[in-house]
Amino acid sequence: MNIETSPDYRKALKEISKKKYSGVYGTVTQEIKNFFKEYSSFESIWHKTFMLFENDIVRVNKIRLENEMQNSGKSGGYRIIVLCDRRTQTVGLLYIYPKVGPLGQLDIPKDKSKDLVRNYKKAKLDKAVESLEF
Amino acid sequence: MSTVVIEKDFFDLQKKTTSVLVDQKISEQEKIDIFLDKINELKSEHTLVVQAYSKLIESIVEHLTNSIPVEELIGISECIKNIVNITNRLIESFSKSKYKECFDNELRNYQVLYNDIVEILGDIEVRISGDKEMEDLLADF
Repeated sequence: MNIETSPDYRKALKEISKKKYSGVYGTVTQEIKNFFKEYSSFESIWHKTFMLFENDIVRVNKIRLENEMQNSGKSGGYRIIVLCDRRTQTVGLLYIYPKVGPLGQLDIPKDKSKDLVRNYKKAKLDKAVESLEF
Repeated sequence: MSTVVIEKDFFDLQKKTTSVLVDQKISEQEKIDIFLDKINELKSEHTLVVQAYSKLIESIVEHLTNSIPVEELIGISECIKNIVNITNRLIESFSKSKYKECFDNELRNYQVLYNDIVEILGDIEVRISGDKEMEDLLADF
């Protein structure tokens, strides 16, 4: 499985990882690593994460992560929007947001999902995606 | 199942509180002590309800990892709407000033669960209604 990150994802993660939020989101990088260690195959991401949109080749899914620092399970953790491409076995990380805390978001608007997919597609063309390994 | 548990718990809270406070045979201090015991008992019960609620959400999410026919999605969304309504009533009750201090932590837990289940409901509704623009975007990918 290939994992790559979009500029939108990297920007959001950078904000969450700021030192001033370390008391709330300090374990975010570890939570992401733990997730991809557990879900280490493309098929597991394709089949075992919450599906938002799909066709036969591509799926937009929502990964639910815990935030150990919040002690409220996955409900109070993080959401990662990913695009899974079956042809290349690639999982593109499009965006991440926490559900609670100072940067907490209840959801992402429908239009934003589309912008994230558009931006990811453009970033791939511009070679602005970065590979990620765990 | 969990819907029933949450609803039962909600009405137990009002019943227990009322029965203690109207009892004329016991002293004020005893009333307070019994009342506080009931509060502690309820807090433990709410911890169990929150755990059951979390499990319910995870099982819903697990089910929604796959392609599901629209008719089934509609049925699931109707069930979730009931849970959303009951949770909303719980939050409204715990938000009242007389409960807020005592049940601050429970209120926070229910709000986190409420926000989660509302997000899931929104995602299901998008799947039910479809999104032509997104379909075109993905087809073009």
